[in-house]
Amino acid sequence: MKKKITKWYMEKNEHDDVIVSCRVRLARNLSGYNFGRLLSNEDAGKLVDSVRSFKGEIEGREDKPYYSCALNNLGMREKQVLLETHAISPDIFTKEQPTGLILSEDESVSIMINGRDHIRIAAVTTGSNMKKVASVANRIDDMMDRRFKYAYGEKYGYLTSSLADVGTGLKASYMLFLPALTTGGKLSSIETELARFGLMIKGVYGDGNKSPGYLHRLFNRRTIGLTESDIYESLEVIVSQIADLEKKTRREWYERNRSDIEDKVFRSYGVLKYARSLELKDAMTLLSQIELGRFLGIIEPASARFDIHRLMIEIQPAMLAASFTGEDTEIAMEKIRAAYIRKKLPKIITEKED
Amino acid sequence: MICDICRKNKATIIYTEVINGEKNQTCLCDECAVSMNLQGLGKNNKSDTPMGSILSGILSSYMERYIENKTSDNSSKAVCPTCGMSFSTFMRERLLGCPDCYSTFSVVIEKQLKSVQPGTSHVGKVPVNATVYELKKVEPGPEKVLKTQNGNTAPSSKTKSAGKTTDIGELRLQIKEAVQKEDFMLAAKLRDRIKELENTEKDKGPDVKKSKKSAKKPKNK
Repeated sequence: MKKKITKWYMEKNEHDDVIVSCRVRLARNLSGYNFGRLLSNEDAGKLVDSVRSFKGEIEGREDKPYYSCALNNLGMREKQVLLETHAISPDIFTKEQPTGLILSEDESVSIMINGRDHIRIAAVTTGSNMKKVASVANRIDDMMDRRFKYAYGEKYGYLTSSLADVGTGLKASYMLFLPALTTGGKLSSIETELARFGLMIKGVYGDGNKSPGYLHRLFNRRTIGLTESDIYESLEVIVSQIADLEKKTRREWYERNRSDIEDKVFRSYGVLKYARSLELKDAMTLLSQIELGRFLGIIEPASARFDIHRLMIEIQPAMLAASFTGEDTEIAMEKIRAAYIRKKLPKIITEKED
Repeated sequence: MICDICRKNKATIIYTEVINGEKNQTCLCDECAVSMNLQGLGKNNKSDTPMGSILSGILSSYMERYIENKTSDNSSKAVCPTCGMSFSTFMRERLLGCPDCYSTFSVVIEKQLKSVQPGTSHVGKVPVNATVYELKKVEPGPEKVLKTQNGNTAPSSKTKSAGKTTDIGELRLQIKEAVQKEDFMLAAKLRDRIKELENTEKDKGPDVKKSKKSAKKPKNK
């Protein structure tokens, strides 16, 4: 896995100020097996083997390389890398039974086997191209439908282990960068509003205002009683409203506290550029200040390709450890992180003078 | 201007509270404002909202235990004949054991879905090759009905109107829903109704039909 490969989170779309990425996840179960909670170890093994054999087929059809692995046999660190890049979910991460993963080379498509459901198909992309990921996930779902026997109920649709997924088994989500709405404390009122549309918003790295990096996931709570396109549509309408509100709030905020925000942005840059030790949470908060500064036109990184959100993934503990090539194994994570950021942080080309 | 709370950062928000005509001003920095949960500045919602949610949390978990312990209708005693999932485990973990659990616990599932979902029947994508599980309405020992799907499916079951029921078990579920929605008025009304029903039942004497055990049919694999 040392080859240079462009992962999905490195893909450059046109710069998106609020929507970081979008993702579609389909929960599917096979008939003839109990759901995850009551699946015997023996059945789990059989399930994983049978679904993993799908790798060849998907490779042929999609015409790109896929990896397949027995997830439970991976080392802790490897698993954590997958968790940090959002290729697997926390509940499959901790599972001790046989679990499996089929992952496209660019990691934009993943099929988790024997997590909370027998199969979870996920497709993800940067920016706001929900149509694209929806069609990818749907295509793979069709392929698997022909190959495996899904458990489907006439009334309840795709039968899942949790009632939160039953029906379409679809969870579509946008990852959003919301510094202004979070700091302004407007998230909880938005949350209440969203409930009326059957949507929810949650911190990606911790809940509510505490989510470092101001990253939040907006997703559908409703899965049954409406069609897939209804779900995509309602999300699309809401996400554009939230994005507009966020941008408006950022500008208003800047208008009111111009010098403070400028100070904060440059200060953050200074710390990131020269600090010798950085905790994850601090680093993420500082990086998000820079991203905000970029949006407000306060600073402009010399490299237009510089992607804060990709850097945020790369400075997570396991990712960082995996990329660390130095000899010294005793060196503290915080120091490695600071060094990594120093190396990756581009120069600033435009500075507004007072 | 320095933040009144942390005495460190620069204050960016002035929070004015007027309680009984008494004005009270606090200067806050961004972080302290967020940590103090002063979302709707001006609106005095910082005390109301958490209390409400705490209360509903306590009540709903209480109600759940209450339903599990006290309900004597079939669904609460049900154990899925295919996978052995019990009602109480299902309620506790919110996870089903197998496709047949949807038949076994259909009454409860219907209730739970109603509280958060726009409908309780699937209207989305239909697979071409799936094993289709038909929902058995019969309560005692639901048996698995398998058939291979041949094209179109029609959502069948009609949902009972949740209005004026005399089934105590169902009323208890309605209470739980009401509590979840924080509609405590409705919950109180439902509670009174249950009391009423319980009293009338006591007058009628022991109810024989309730103790009827569900006869398990042999399951076919």
